[in-house]
Amino acid sequence: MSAFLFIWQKSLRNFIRQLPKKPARFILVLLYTAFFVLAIASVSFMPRAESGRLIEQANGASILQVGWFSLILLIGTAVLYSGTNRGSAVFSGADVHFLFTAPYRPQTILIYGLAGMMKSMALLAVFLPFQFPNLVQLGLGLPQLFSLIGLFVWILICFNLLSMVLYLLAQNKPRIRLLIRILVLAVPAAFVIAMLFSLIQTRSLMQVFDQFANSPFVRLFPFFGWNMSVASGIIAGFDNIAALSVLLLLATPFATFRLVYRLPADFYEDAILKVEQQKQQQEKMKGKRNRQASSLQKRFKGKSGLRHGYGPNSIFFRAVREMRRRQPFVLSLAATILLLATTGVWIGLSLERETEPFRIYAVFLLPLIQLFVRAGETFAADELKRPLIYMLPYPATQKLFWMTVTESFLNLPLILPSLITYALLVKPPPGQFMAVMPALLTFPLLLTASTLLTFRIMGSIEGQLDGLVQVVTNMILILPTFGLLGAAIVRGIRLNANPSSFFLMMALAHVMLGGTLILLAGRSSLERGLVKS
Amino acid sequence: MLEIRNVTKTFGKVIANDHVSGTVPENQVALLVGPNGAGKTTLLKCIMGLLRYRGEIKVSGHDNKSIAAKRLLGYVPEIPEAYPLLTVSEHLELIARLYKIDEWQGAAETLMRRFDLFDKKDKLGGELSKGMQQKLSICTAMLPEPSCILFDEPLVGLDPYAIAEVKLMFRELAEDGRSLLISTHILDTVDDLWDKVMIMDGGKIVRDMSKTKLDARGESLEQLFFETTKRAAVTET
Repeated sequence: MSAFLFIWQKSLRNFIRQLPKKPARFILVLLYTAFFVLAIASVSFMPRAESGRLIEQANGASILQVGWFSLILLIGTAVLYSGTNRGSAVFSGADVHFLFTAPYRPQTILIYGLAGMMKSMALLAVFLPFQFPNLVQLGLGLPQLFSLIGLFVWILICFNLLSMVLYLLAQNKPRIRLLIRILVLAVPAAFVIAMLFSLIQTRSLMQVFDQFANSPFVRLFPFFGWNMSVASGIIAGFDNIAALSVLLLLATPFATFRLVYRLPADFYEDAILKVEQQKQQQEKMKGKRNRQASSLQKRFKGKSGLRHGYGPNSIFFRAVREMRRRQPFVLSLAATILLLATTGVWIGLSLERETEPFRIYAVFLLPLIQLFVRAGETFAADELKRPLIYMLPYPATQKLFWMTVTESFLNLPLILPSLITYALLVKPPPGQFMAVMPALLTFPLLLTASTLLTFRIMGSIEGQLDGLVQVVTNMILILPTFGLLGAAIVRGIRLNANPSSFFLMMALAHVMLGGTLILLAGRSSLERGLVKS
Repeated sequence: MLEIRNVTKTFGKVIANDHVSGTVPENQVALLVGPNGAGKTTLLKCIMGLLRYRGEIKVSGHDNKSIAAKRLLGYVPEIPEAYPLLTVSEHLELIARLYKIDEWQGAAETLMRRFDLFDKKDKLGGELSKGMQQKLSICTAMLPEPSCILFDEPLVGLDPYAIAEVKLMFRELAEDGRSLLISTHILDTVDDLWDKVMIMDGGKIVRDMSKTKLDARGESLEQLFFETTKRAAVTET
């Protein structure tokens, strides 16, 4: 194992040594560290007035437990689902060259690849301290918060090992792979349906949360339930089920590790094909770059008119055409999931009268979360990897304008169906609804800005580190949105006044902050071109 | 000794290797030649145990996917890859750790000096040019002193000095009792090096001939290649 640790240890040391030579990266690391330290320090200085405010309320602990369960259900399902094609995603060309040919069992190499992936995921856990101040206000102490972080990292390790078992079971067996995928998706679906049924019966969301958090079946449900039981132990004290769950969760990695070593592993081909595909893609891009340079003007002076584009707006029309071919149906999978989720939540909320003031925030938050989840797949990210955008013979401002318009337009099929369904189902006050629309439609500006900023700092938008930087940038850029949302909630729920003005301010903030960053980061990026090819 | 028996490899409906058989005895340099897309790289990857295939491949009697066989195999891939955040010398240290080689420093230094990498030993993998990466790839393949070495287009991207050095190394390795299998489609760069040739076309080995036999026929490797693959040679006018 020392050889594998050697790769990480030396890569990390060399990365740190390189930092002074790359000031943009250096500043980002400093900022990141400062945020982390501040988040921890703020908890120590924060007065814990009325300690245990939420968790001492009647349903407080249940709300926290169900919230935690939902978070882990979401992450766990994603990790387990990705396990069915894992072997192709975690290795680099250098791994293929040096490790696949080395005298080790494929299982050992697979565990190395998985550990590398877990390393990146554990890095994500450092974002949890940003939520510390909020969680302290709910009544949690610092030891509880650190225990929850520990649980989060441990459960990630468990899910990653389980996903590896699923991968090994499914490798070269398309039918078993399909079956596993269905089973993995069936778990969250079953929980959501059970909660909805329970809600229809009891007509009280709080009662459903209570039933859910205290149900022995849910608490003993493998992995997801055990995780919630341990979290409930940390939040509200350990009982027998929580103690048993600790033991089961502690045993999970060891048991799965043993299983991984016993199952036959034959994943090299999948991994190699994936690495080669990526390489071919890059080569193709390089080739295209040279060919397109000569015929560019001619191509872009071809057909004109509304349906074809002319000049820089060809970027937009090409994207629309690509979307139509990629996605022949009006609703994409993501839009369908969003539509189902929003419909479910609205039905749930509409069953309780007391939830009425919250509905407008639900309609805003659900598409926002969906947009945020897909923040790494922006049109700008796609475009920046292609040579065309740098070569188009137009000013950078025009290209950036059309990139931004395209991003907003491409998100319409995702946002509009759920918004329209909401309007038809709930019939909200038209003023409020009209204020939410621009806030949502301008949100993609922040995503484009974050992509361009990441590209400006890192010089590329493809690696794991680039992804991490983009997540940090997204989180920083979204702060004004959440600040104004908080203000809107206070105005709407506490003061019982119309929160529309805050949604309009949000739209303005998106345009101003997003627009400025797009111009600043985007112009220099487009003029500089691809740094890493 | 490398033995390949009835190896068939398909990618969907495409047959990349079709019942390929052949041997590379010890002390010999075998050439694997063929036009683009003949299936040479695929065969080398099958031998290295990187792809799934039907058939049997043995390295000195061991199944090629076993750990014992991997200790005996060395591989220089067509497209070299390096860890972007490891230096040249750290790549060699990694190999020493992976193959559990003690006292590797002397051999590593000799290899780096031989391939003009010693003054670049602290350069990161991400900063190396294609040619440098190829040299590093050769050094890392040589460090564990494998008894059977596969080279996939080893001379592509190298400067003339490095090409001369690699050719010299081929000869030394063969004299040292190793089996070499060199895949290439540039015939004139390897003309004087080989002991036997396997010509591949359309996923099959269409000709397997020793150099002695070819010399006896009074033909060149190029003539044999064009005759076998039924493509007309381009002649100078």
